[in-house]
Amino acid sequence: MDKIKNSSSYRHSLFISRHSRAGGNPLEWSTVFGQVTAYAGITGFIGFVLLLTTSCSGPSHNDHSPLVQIEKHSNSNIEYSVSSDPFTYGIEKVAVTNSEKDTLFFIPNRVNHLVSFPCNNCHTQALGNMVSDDPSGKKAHWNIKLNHATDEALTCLTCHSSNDVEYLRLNNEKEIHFNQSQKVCAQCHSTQSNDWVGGAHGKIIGGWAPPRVSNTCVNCHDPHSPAFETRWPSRLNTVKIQELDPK
Amino acid sequence: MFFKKKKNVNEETAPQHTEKCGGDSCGCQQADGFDQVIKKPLDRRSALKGLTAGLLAGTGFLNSSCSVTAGDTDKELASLKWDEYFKGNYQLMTAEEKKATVARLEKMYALNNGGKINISDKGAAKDVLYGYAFNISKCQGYMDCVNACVEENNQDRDSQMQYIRIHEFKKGQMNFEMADDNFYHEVPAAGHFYMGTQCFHCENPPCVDVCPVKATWKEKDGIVVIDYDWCIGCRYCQAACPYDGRRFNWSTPHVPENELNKDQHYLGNRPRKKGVMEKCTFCIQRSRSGENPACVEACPTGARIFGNLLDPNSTIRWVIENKKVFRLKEDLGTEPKFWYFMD
Amino acid sequence: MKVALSMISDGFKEATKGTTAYHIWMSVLTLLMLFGAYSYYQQIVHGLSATGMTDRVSWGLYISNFTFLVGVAAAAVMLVLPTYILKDVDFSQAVLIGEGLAVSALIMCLAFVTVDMGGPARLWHIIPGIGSLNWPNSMLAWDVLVLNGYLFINLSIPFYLLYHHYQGKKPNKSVYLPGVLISVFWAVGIHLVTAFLYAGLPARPFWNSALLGPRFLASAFAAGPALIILTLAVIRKFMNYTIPDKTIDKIAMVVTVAAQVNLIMLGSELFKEFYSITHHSSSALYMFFGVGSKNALVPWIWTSIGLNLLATIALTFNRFRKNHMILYASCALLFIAIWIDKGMGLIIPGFIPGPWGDIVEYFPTWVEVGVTLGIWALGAFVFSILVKIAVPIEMGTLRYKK
Ligand code: SF4
Ligand code: SF4
Repeated sequence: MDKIKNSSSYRHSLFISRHSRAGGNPLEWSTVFGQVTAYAGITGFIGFVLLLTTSCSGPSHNDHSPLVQIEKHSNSNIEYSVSSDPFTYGIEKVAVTNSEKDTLFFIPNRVNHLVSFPCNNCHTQALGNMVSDDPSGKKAHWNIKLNHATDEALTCLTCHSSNDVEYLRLNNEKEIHFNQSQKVCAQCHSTQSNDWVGGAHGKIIGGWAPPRVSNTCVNCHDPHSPAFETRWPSRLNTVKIQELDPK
Repeated sequence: MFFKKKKNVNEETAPQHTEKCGGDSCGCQQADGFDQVIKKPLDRRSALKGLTAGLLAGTGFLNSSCSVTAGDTDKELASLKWDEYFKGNYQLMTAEEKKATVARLEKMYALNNGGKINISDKGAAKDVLYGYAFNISKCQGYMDCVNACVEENNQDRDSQMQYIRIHEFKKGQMNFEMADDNFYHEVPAAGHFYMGTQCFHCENPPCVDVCPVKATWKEKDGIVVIDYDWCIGCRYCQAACPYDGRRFNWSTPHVPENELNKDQHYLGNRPRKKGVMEKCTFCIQRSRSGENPACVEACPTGARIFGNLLDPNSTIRWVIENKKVFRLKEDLGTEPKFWYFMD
Repeated sequence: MKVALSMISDGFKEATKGTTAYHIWMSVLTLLMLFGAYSYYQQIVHGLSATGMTDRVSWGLYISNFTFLVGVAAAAVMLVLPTYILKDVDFSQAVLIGEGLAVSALIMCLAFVTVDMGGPARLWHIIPGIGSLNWPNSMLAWDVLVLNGYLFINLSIPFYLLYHHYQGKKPNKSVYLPGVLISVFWAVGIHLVTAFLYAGLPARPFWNSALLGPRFLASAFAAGPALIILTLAVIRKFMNYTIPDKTIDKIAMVVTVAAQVNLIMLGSELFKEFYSITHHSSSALYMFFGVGSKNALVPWIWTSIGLNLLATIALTFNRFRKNHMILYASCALLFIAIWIDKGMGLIIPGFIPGPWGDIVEYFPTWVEVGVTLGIWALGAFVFSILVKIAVPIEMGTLRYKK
């Protein structure tokens, strides 16, 4: 036999050996085992219940849905302590109204930003009188090239009033001020217009807090060439290139 | 300690000590009615503070850092650093404690860099829950938002840290694995569309659940924030975020002094230190004062919409209620407050 | 008190004297620890950017080793259980070694977690009461609690026993027996909690599997006792402490069964990943076959699978298992295989591809490797000292002199 077994230290060996069990020890291992299991079980169960009740991520995710939050806490009379005014300071605003003349929101004043407005600084005649089919004739706005739909659909006079250079026109020949130019666009682009009034199209400037100030169509789109141009992105992350392609 | 390496003061691992160490100069630790609950931890923290002071004194640390040769500025800095090191979790601080830490941070910046920064501790407003919508049809991949974000939020320039990623997809699929988030060619490229991701400020954020020290949490207005001074840098939250929303400071972040945005918020764009987590905060320093986040302001296409979800008159509500919106990985139950839609 | 002091001083004397081989071994470990400390110093100065980790793969070698060692720590003690079930075996020596191993493995675990922190100076934030432990929400908070609790149990029980043997007294069973049993359950607990740490993250589909916990246990039950067999072999050879063949054979049995179960689970995992390849199989695809030019893990995982198969087959046959040379070799192979499997094969592919599908590979830097080596050396150092002190006490050569 090996010497450990014979050594005295083995007798009171550190762990539960069969010797100690065999000798009718009052502390039967199975009892201890049972107790410990019971304790472990109870502790585990309590822990689990604790986890379920105290943890934010209980079984139901519904309470965490922003939609439920909206349903529960939506409030149409919020008293805001903040306002977008400080962030639109210096921008002269024009109200956009609905058919009942209620103000919906504001857009920046347009005519303040038109470089050659009013038109009668240069033009004394109505636009209708100046139009000519002669390709060799001189153009007042030679730098403007109409790149908006096809020339079959649009000419200058589709949007500009032929009677008064200071005004735009609608299809029903009603004259429209330059500060309300969105009404001209809305005639064809009704979907975009709806989205814009709602807030899904177009950019809100200043702040999210009321009062709402939105860019109007012509703030982002050149009406004579409304599409956005391709250009280079403003940046490249060279570190990321290295990461993605270490070679 | 957050901004620059300085002459005499060690890295943040070794808080320094002055005569003032034992006491609390700002009187910010008087427990008031608001938080009897945290009174105890605070007291224990003070005990820890005292104990550490004792230990340091015992090892002669005290001598070296409080020596008469150290200048007044250094002493003051060391004292501020000391108080900063032992401050509690911002989430559990009383209003006065918040004010005190903000004051200390501003003071430390002034002592270190000579300039003045403004750190706000503005809390969440009532009846506000922020939400964000992103118009996939509009995004052209210009990345102006990314630049604006980096500048606004003082992100580390060396590692080119960016919160926003713009993914370029080939039309015909919306498979992120096939998308490129580091393109550099004229955009929009023919046959491609673009989509931005960032932290989505989940209503049920897994990143918050996993943080072992409660260093990150969801504010009442729905913004998921991080206390940069409480984060221990374990990066568990980064592993838990399904949206790649979090960024870690692998080394000391560096922002040139003249590019530093000095309008800051404690939970927002104040400069970070190395070894802590950070991420998009919906520009908390801007949004809490009513302004749009920098990305919304920078986007030339109006693809980004931000607002108050609890306000039925807000544009974000209109988008959610009138457009066909979706969110990413909705099946995970994270409930992001970031919706995508198309025209 | 006097006895405790004397035990410590005797232990210290015992630990500092020894054969030349022992001294060389300890010096080598010290050198490695110094190298580790220097590497860690580099990491403190430069931040975690000194490691190969990035925002894309934000856990690496440290957490891999941590995960593996939790398994070792757990399995070392779970050996107690067979002492009851297989009534004819005497595992007492193995168990003492096991507890020592558990303590060293736990120290390594805690060290690995600490070096992985971005702000180790702020670690006090985790202490309940002073800081703010996010219990019960964070599995990491659970892990902190269970690991420290386990460390406490595994320090106190052997100390209690040795303390009594040191004085030539018989330890009181009703004191340590419940402790031992709790420690067995606790061992299962630490490993399950560690598995839940990963399995609870739906963000990482590679980890988000119910099988993760059981597989952790199976692989731990293979790797831990395999290490015990190896250490017993070394102790047998270098110390005057006889360990019967029977003990080793029985532990080998445990290793074999665990290795087989582990293989079955591996098989079912592979089936799930590759029979119907979904979006969630990307990590497995990357790990086993590489994606394009990115295939850093491919050699590792196949090595691991090869070694695992080889070792398990060798162990399965009685004839090979009974041959101690083959047994030791198999145990070593199995240990390495599982180390790779838990590290390179589990933690890292969890991050690849990232949430948006980017494949960014991870390569540890020398700083990371240095720190890792240092911590392993620390563990071996602690273990050597523990064994060096415990064995003479157990053999009765080291006794309290009144
Ligand atoms: S997107 Fe990620 S970081 Fe942001 S709240 Fe959700 S889980 Fe957290
Ligand atoms: S990295 Fe910081 S914020 Fe994230 S889980 Fe760890 S301690 Fe919390």
